[in-house]
Amino acid sequence: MTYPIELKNISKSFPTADSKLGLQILNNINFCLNSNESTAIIGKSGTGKSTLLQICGGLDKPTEGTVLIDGIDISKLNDAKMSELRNKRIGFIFQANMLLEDFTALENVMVPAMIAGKNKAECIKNAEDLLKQMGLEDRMNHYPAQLSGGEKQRVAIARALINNPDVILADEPTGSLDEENAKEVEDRLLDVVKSGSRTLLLVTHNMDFAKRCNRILLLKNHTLTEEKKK
Amino acid sequence: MNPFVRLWSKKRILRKGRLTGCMVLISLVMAPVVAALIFSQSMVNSMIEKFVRISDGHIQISGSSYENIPDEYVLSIKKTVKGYALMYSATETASLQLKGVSEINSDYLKLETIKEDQKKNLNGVCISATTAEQLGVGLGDKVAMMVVPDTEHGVLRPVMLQVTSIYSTGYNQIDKNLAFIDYSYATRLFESAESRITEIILKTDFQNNLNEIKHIIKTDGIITDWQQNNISIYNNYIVSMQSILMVLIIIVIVAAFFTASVANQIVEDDSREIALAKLLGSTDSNVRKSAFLSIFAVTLSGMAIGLCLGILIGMNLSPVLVLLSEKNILTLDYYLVDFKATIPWSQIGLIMLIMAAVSAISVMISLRHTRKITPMRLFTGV
Repeated sequence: MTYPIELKNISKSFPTADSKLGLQILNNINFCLNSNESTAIIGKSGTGKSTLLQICGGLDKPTEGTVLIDGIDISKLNDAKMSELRNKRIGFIFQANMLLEDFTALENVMVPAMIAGKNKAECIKNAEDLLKQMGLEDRMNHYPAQLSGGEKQRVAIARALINNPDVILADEPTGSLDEENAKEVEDRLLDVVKSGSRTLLLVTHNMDFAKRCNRILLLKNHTLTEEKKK
Repeated sequence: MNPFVRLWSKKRILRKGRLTGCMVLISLVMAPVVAALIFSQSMVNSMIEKFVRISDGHIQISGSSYENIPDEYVLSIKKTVKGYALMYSATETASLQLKGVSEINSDYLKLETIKEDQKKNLNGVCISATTAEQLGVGLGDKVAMMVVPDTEHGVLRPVMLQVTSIYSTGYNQIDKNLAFIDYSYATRLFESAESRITEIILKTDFQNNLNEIKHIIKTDGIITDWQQNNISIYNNYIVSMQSILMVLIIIVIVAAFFTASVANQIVEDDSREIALAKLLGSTDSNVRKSAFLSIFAVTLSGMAIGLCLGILIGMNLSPVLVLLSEKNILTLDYYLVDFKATIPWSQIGLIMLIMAAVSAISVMISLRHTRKITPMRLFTGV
């Protein structure tokens, strides 16, 4: 059986000047992300939640272990294949929205589709539809500097969805938003996961948001344990 | 082309700042280079034209019979007589080539002539200021001359002449040994068929077709051209032009390397955007392509603007040169006359090609640094 994302014996340590072993962040982590499920990873700051998410997305490499995406060992992919996988199979959302400042909201959403080689008209139509779904029909031609934090994050969600990916990896997507905006972003994100049969892996400090997910995983003492939902 | 590459390049070009600065700098390098090329080529052409007009024409036919001179190539045909003589003043001697001409064309040399009432009952001679200085004579003075016979039966003939004109061409090669006398008088001094030289001046468009035209002309005598007769001067012109071109090419290469440093800086400045593009799935090759396209488009635009500016400056140099020549700067006074601006397209093309090629290669090498930028830079900053 293949999973959208499967981690096998993942360890990660960072080199330090005073230790040959380095600073251990993750130790022998194993988990599978089930299809059409939302999973939240919680844990204290500095425990390695973001690092784990980056390893899941193929952005960072583990010191040991294997990452399988749809059964494919991503360590064996070259730059072009890895880029294609990130482009078509995974949608990323971060706390800092990471939009391109010179691009309008519409262009920002179009970028992954253009990278995928879709024609411009199709990219524009899909991006417009997604921005409408996010309630940003009046903000399409605004630059990031002209958008509020919540609007930027909704643009980032639209961008993550443009290529209709199987998996969405979200790192503190509501971390920098006020309560009202955070709630709206949570709703949008969970909606798109449910309505589109997508898999969501979420890193958050927000327990209320985590509780709305199907599974909660706790990262503590370098290892991952499943929390039972109350 | 990938639509992302196109959009990314367009955004980089439209972004004000470094790329605009790069374009301005390239055009500021290109404009004087093109203007300098136009100036140097035009000046060399003018100098060649002047030299040819004063000395022997483009083509010389030795002997009195010839036919088939193609009229469409020819601007003028001048009959001359040439021979050699020794000229004496009271104290000095000069060995000269005598040239018998119907009139001296003062368009291409400086000429001082005595007044009619100062003329004595002697045949006149026009010597150069160099020869006059060598002999220690001036306008109106008498000089003795011993004509070197040009036939087997000829005898050395001493004659007395009056210096009726003194000329100056600026060409040492001409000034140091050429003197002019009246054509009909010259025919009496030199009687051989070989001394009769017909000089042909060609129209501008045909001045590079010397060999072709020489083959068309039929003559029993000897036919030569100015390049054969003045091989060292001709080679000097060629070497001068090549040296100027080489210097300009080096300047352009240095400027082209500047675009590589701009590329480096752009990669550094845009590292966040590059990392983000890679995070969203762009390959390193696409990132490099888009950066290359934007930098190269700016380089080409800068070159095009520089070319237009350079041509504009180059084609309007004449009034500036006239102004300079009016300032009576001795060294410029001679060279700045009769300047006709011509655009050396082949050399400009070569310079543009070299700049484009060196820019392209150096930018491509610089852009290899994008490989080091991974999506992780967004989180770690390195």
